[in-house]
Amino acid sequence: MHRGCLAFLVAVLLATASPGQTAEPSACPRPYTLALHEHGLLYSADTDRGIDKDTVDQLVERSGCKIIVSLMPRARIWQLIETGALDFSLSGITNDERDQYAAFAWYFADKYYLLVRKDLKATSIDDFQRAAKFQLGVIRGFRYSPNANRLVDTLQADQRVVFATTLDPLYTMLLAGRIQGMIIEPFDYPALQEASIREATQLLEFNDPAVPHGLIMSRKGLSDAEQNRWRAIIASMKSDGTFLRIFQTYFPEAMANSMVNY
Amino acid sequence: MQKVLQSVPILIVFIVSLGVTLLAWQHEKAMAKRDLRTELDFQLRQTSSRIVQRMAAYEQMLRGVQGLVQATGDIDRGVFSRYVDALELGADDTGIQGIAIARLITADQADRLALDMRRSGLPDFRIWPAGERPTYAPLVQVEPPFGRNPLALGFDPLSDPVRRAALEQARDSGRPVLSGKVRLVFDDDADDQPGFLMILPLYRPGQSHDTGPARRTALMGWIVAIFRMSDLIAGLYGEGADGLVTEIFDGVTPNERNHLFLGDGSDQHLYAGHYSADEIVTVAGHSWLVRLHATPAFESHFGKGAADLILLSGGGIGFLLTLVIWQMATSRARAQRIAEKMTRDLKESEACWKFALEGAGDGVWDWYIQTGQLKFSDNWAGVLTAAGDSAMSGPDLWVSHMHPDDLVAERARFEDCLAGRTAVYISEHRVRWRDGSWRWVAVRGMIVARDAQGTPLRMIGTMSDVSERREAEERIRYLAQHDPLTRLPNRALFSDRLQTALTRARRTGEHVALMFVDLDRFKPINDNFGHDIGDLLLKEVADRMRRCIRDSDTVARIGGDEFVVLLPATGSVADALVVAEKIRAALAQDFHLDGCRTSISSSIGVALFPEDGQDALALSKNADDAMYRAKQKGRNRVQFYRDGRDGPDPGDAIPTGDVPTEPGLRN
Repeated sequence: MHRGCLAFLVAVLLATASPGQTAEPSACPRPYTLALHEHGLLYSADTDRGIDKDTVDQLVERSGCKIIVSLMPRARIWQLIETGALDFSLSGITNDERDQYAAFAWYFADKYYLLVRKDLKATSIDDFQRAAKFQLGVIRGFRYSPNANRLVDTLQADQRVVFATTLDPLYTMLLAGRIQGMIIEPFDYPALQEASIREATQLLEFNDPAVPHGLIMSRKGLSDAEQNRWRAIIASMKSDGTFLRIFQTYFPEAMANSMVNY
Repeated sequence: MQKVLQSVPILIVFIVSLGVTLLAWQHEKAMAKRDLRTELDFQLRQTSSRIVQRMAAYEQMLRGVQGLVQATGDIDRGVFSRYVDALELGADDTGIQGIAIARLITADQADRLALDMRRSGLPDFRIWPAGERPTYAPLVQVEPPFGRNPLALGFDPLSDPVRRAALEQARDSGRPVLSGKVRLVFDDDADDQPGFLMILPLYRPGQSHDTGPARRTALMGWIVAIFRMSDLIAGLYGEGADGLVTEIFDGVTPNERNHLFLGDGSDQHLYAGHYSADEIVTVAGHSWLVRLHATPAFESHFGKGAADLILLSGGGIGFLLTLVIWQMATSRARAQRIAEKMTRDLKESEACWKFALEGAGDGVWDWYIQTGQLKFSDNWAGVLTAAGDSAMSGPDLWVSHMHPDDLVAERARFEDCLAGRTAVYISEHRVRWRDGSWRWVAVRGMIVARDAQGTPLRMIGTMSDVSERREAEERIRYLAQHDPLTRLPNRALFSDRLQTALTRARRTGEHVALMFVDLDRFKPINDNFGHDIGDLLLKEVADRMRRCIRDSDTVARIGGDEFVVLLPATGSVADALVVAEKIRAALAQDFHLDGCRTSISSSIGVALFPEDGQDALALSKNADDAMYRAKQKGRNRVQFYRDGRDGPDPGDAIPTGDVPTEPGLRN
């Protein structure tokens, strides 16, 4: 609650300061680059829709800047953010390493879950970890909440992790029994609604708080002033309910509310 | 029990060192394994990334073709050919075999299309495989038109389920789509390598294709890029690690049917049991399973680490450490065993020597000169110690027991040995025994330790009681010099004494008197009464003569009944006469022998030195002469060599009637 209040205050302050800045002609010194990655409700190339896509549209509209959007694997995105070849990406979470080369503007938080096959008889994350034969599928370049990260790192050390570029093949592998679990977020719920997946799997919860997600900004590509400007835009989108509306498009209202107003 | 206790620390050290080595070995192996996995994962990431990048580039290339068609409004063969030619697909694009245009036609348009194609310069054009299908999508152009590419002209990909699925997915999504594994149509059995297609839909310009149904309506064909997987991988730029083999499967299930590629053309079964890592890469909506195999060369390079070295060196060090500890732990015990053995040997040796020495009556002494401590073997310590001796130190005790006459000579001899002038101290001297008697001991000793300055520190030696030997020697000497019957000095001893007396007399100017005493008529006694009586008589004669002289005088028996008397330092003729008379008178007394009484007389001849002879020979001859003359004068008298010195006539002293003419016994 305390963190939520603080975020709200910052958002309000930044929002009140933003109109003047956005009006400045030097606000868009060059076209920016932004990369999306395919991930459930965040973005689907098939439909060319998703929360991230809607967010990009809002950023373009509010900033008045040209943003060249491309689609690429998450791991590739982080590489380019680090080198400065890519300015933005969306729905990113941080860690100590990423903080070195990326800045963030948070706008939602969610939890991670372990999706496992029902026939494993695993009732907890520990059960899954203890079973030496169980393989975990993860997206290359993804990081998660602390306990989820710990699970991934532990299993990777035991050569029990299969990496993929996107989630879709992991579902296939899960159903085929080639992996026994994968880490998902609420964006992936629609996939779980498919009958074959729904019937064959169950969700296990990590005992972690919701992890903030936000706009990823390359420290090499964007100056501090530019980063602040984009933070202000994100804050204004939060404060004026834009994000809530976007999330409500894809999630039930209560869930959207809990994710945006974390 | 002691051995077990001793081996405990050794065992502990051995186990600990072995345990530490094994732990370090295991740890190093785990680290090496982790490094290997990390490296393998890194290489897998790199390989996957390169594949995705390359495919993204191809996708971009096809989007260019798509854009060209959209821009020109139709599929113009010449434009398309120039466009592909401008791409300059060279060595860097080895994976792509060609780019084709598949034109979508209905069944009733097929013949017309074929005719048009043949008229346009492709006389052999036909749509194949033959068969009735509602729609066809024959490849109407394949660029570049070299190699086997023209062989693909006319092929209808809709005739193949795999290709059809990809075409339809592309049509419906409007996006680039990868097909599953296919056998390229221009490949023959001899060159059958897995391939795949990248497909982009071509929509009629101006027609909406935002939705699925709209796309189907607007579709006029596809751009089909033809790939051979092995060439694609060969054209990937980037340095891979040595010892890794890439394997790719179509989809996410690794099986023979889906097998797309195996590096080096090797057999995948070769890598069974070795490390491998999988990654699913999704390119243009299609997934491949990329698997990296670690060959033994890679594993030995990255997975070996220093584990074996640690095991070897740790084992070696542990062994040496254990050896050192064993040496340390057992050195005391071994030294103790050696010392005990030495002590035992020494004790046995000592016991032997002790037995030998003490059995022989000998003793051992050990003198620490600086401290004065003198130790004797047991058998000697007792015999020397007397009351009051306990307060004395060793050497003083010894000196106090020495005969005073031997002290000076022994001290000098001892000093010579201490000073190193003689190597061995050898002595025979007398010591007072515990019972108060004097006994002869033979003492031998030598210095066994000196300091740097040569000061003697320790002396050891032996001592033996030689009293009996000395007594035996004395007895032999006595027997050699004395008459066994009368115990009087014999001729040899008498000659020595005579010489000594003469030598002395020459120096002092004193007189020496030499008397020859011959028993008168002794032979008849022997003849008449036997030798036993004769011997008794001679012994009595000797005793009487001995009583008549001073201690400094000598009486000796030089023949059967001949005696001599030496009177050294005789003051005068008168003195000699007195003694001679005393002897004559003593011998003239009756003898009581074994119950018989008898009497004899003696004739005594006296010669004086220096008047009657200057040497022993002359003096003896003259004394003998004098004795003869006494015989001639009637016996029983003293006769000096020179007349006028004779004593009174014996007839004055001896009643004539009492002197028997023949020896006889009176009962």
